Amino acid sequence: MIVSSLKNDVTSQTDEQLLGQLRAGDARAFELIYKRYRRPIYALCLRLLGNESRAEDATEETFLKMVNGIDSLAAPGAFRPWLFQIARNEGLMMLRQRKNTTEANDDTVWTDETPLTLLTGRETTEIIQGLLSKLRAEYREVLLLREDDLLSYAEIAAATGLTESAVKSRIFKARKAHAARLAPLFKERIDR
Amino acid sequence: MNCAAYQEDISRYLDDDLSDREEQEMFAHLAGCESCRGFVRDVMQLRNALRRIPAPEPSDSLDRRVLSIPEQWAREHHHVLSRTAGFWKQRLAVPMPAAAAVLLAFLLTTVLALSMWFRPVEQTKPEVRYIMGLPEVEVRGIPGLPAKSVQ
Repeated sequence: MIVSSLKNDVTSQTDEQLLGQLRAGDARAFELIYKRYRRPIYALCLRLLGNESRAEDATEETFLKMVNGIDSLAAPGAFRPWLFQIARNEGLMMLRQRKNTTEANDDTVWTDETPLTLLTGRETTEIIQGLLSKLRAEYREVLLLREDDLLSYAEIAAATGLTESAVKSRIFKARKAHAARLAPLFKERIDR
Repeated sequence: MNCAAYQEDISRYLDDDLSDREEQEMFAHLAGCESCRGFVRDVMQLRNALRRIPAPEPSDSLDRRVLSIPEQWAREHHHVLSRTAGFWKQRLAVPMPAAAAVLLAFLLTTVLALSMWFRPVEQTKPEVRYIMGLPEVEVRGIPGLPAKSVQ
């Protein structure tokens, strides 16, 4: 079954090679590209949107736009940031449609107040994910793109349209805000 | 530099973005700053925690939806998808009779052009005519004199 084979099959071909094959008309190359990027793209969409159904829609739309726009990609070496840029744009567009983003002043990192005490008793992973979902989208996206070593600063800048220094600054602010909220939890666990 | 600037460097250090000199300065600052050491501890814990979050697995239904994209694309663009031929080749495909007609027209034009280009040059013969066994030479081109025949 094609779907189950996606989980284990690994190709040694580079993105550039697969892209060349895709452009030459090899539909199998599409499957291999999807196989390589399905998890990080879906994870990015899910963590941006916080909803599985919406994340699936955004992931599907990302790969559809990839197919339709493959000829517009000038530099094959820029495929990865380009693909994540599509996913990021899809995620942000869906967030805007949901009117879930706020246009508060630029120094505001959180979308709302999330006292850590409300999360007491839950697993650390759930707490971290819960806090992550409360970060404003522009901070959440850069943190997600960087934390799993998905993209370099330069690639994140290309994917988001920010300057590299703005990317570094946002990642720093996101980490600082996130770490500050988690610090009491970690301290409490150490003290126990 | 103040602590805020060093903390931004700490964030960059996690991403392996500091030069050797910046790294040395950051560690020198950390040696004497409890607040920044606390920041290092916090962001390291955050990073480790984020990395422990398992990547969500896309559902089978999502896989099916995405893997049907090439077929959808081919259907929408009125092409028959072949996993070996691919769908972009077909996107550029030209109907066979039209292609044959264009090729034939090209070949005919080429042959015609070549035949005209390499047409043998007619050699100019002297204007010599024989009348009753003697050549008649037409002299012409002398300014002021009418053309006449000399036998």
